Amino acid sequence: MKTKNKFLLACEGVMAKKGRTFMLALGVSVGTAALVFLVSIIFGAKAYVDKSVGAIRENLLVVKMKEKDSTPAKALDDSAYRSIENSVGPVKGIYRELPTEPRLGILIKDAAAPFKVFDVVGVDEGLFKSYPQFKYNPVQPVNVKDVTFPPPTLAPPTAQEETADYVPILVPNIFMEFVSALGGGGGNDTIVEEFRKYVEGRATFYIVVNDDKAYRCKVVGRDNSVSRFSIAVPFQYAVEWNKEQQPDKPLPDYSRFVVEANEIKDLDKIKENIVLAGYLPQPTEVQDLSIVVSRGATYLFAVAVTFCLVIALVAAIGIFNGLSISIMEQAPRIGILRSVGGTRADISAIYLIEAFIIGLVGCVIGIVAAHLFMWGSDIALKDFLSDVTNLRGIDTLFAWDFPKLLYIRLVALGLGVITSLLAGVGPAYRASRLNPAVVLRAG
Amino acid sequence: MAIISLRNVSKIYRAATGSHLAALDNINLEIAPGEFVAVIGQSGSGKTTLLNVIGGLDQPTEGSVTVDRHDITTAGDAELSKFRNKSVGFIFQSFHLQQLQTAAANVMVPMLFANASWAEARRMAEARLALVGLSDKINQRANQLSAGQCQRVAIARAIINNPTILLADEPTGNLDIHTGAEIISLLSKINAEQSTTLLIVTHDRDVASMARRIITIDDGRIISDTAAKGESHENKK
Repeated sequence: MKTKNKFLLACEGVMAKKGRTFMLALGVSVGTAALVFLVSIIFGAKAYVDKSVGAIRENLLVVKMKEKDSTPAKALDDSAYRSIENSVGPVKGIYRELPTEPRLGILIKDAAAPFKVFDVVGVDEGLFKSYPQFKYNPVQPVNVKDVTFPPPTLAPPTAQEETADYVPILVPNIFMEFVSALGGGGGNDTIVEEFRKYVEGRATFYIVVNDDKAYRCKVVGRDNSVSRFSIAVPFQYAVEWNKEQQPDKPLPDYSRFVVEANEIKDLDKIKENIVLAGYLPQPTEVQDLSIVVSRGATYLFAVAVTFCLVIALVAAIGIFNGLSISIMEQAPRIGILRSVGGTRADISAIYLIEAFIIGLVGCVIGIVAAHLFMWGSDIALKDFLSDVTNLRGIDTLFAWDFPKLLYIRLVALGLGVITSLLAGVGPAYRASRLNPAVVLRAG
Repeated sequence: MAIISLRNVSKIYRAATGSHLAALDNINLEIAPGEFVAVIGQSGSGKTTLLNVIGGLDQPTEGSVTVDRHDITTAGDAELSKFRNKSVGFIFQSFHLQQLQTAAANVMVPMLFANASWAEARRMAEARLALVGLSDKINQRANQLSAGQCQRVAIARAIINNPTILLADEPTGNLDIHTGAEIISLLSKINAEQSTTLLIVTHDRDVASMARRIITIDDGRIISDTAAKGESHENKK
C-alpha cells in the first residue's frame, strides 16, 4: 500500500473522531506549550544572568607566577606568553600587564583633595578594544596649571567630551573598593558621590604625573583584570608614566597576564590548563560567585529539562490511553480495513501516522499558544517583575533571539511528535493484532 | 474445477475453562465458479464462521481451505491480505461503513490497499456506485443514507476490485422485506452479469430461495446441500 494512501486513510481516521482527536491534540498542546514556556523562561533567565555577568566581564582571568609551592617561579616573559597561549585552549584573548608605581593623583574640581591612585597597570590595547567605548588617539599631556576642570555631572557627555582624545581607563568591578583606593570613602561621602558622578556620567577627568603633567582620562569600563586599589590604562601610557616617575629604574618584566575566556563556563577548564602549564590563575571572589551563578543557571536548566521530560511522560501516557480507547472504539473499522486487504503492517502504519498527525497538530497549536502567552506575559509582567525583584535591565522574560527561538521550538516539536509516535506504538500494534472476524462480529 | 474447496475443515474455539466449542465440524465443501450459494441455519450454527474461513478472515483449526487457487490455511498475513483485497468482497449485515465519510470515500478504500492512486480509486468508486444505483449519492455521507442505500454502498465497496467471490453475511438482516429483496436482486444481477461466485449466509429462507444452491448448516456440520428449484445440484447429507 502506498504511503500516501496510508496517510490519507489516517487523516480520514483522525477526522472521523474529531472530538477525541481534539482532546488528544489539546493534551499534546498543553505539554508542548508548557515545555516551550518553561525552556524559554529558563533561557531568558540564563541570558539575563549571562548579560549581567558579562557586563562586569567576569570572563577575565589573571595569571601570575607560582609563588607558594616548591616549583621554581616562572618568569612571565615572552616565552611565558607563548606557553600560556599554547596551553589555555580556545580563548577570546590573552593580554599582558605592566605594573608601574606612579605617584599619581586624580584631580576633580571642588573635591576636598586629589585622589591618589595606589597602582596603575598597563594593559595590551587588545583588552581595551573589546570595549565599545574605546577610542584611542595618542593623548598629549598638558600643564596642570592650564587645565580647566569640568564640573561633576550626570548629564551625557558633551560633544566636546565625545570628540576630545582621552586616555581610556578601566576600573575594578567593585566600584566602592575603587573609590576607597582613590582616597574616597572613609566617611567622605562627598568625594565618593562626586567620583561616582564622574564614572557613571562618563565625564572626563585628569591624571597628574610628576605633579605637573595632566592627562585627560575617561573611565570606559569596569574590569575584572583590574585588582582592587588599581586602575588599568593602555600599555604605552603605563610605560610612559613609569619613565616619568622613575627614569633611572629599568622596566620590569611582564608580571601578569589576563586571559579572556569566550564564556564564563570555560573558566574552570582554562584554570586547569594554566595550572598544568605551571602558572597561577587568580580568580576573584566575584568570579567564583559568577561561576556559581552560571552553574546555578545550568542547574535550573537541568531541572527544567527534567520537568519537561515528566511533562512528556504524562503526555505520552495520555496519548497512549486516548489512542488505546480510540482503537477499541474503531475496532470495526480496523476489521473492515483488514477485510478489504489491509495487512497488519498497513494497520500499524495507519495508526502510527494518526499518532504522528495528532502529535504534529498538538505541537503546532502548543507552540503558537506558548508564543502568544509568552508575548502577553512579557508585556504584562516584565515591568512588574523588574519592580518587585529590583532587577534592572530586564528587557524580556524569555529567550526571543532567533537561533534559540528556532531551537526551542524545533526541540519541542521533535519531542512532541516523537512522544506521540512512541505513545502510539503500543496501540498501533494492538490494532494490527485484532482478529478481524471477531471485531466485525462484535461491531 | 471448484473455486472454493474445503476439506475436513474444523474450527474449534477453546474457552478459558477448558471446554471446547466446534463452530465448524469436519466440513467438506466445493463451490464452482459463478455459483450463487445460500448458507442457511440457526443462529450459532457456524454460518458466519464458515464465511470467515472461506474469506480468510479466520483460520480453521484443522483441514485445508483453497479459494481461488489460494491455500488459505498456509498463507501468511501479506498473502492473505492480498487475497482478501483481490479475490474476495465482503458484505456485512451492519454494513460497516465509516459514518462520517462520503459514499465514495467508503467505496474506494479497497483500491487504496491495491496501490491505486486516490484519483483512480475515486473514479472507480463513482463507477461502482453508479452500478448499484447510487450515482446521485456519491458525495453523501454514510450517515445521511438509508439502510438500503448503505448496503448498496457496501456492495459497491465489495466489488470495486472485481473480486471472483462475494461473501455476504446476512446482507438483508437490517433491511425491510422490500429493500432486502432489492439487495438480493442486485447481488443476483452481479452474480449473473459478472460471473462472480456469490455466497450468502442467511437465516431467511425467502432470501435463500433466490440462490441456485442452498447449504444448510447445524452445529458446525453441513446437514444438507441442495439445488434450488430448477437447479441440478443435490447432495443431501
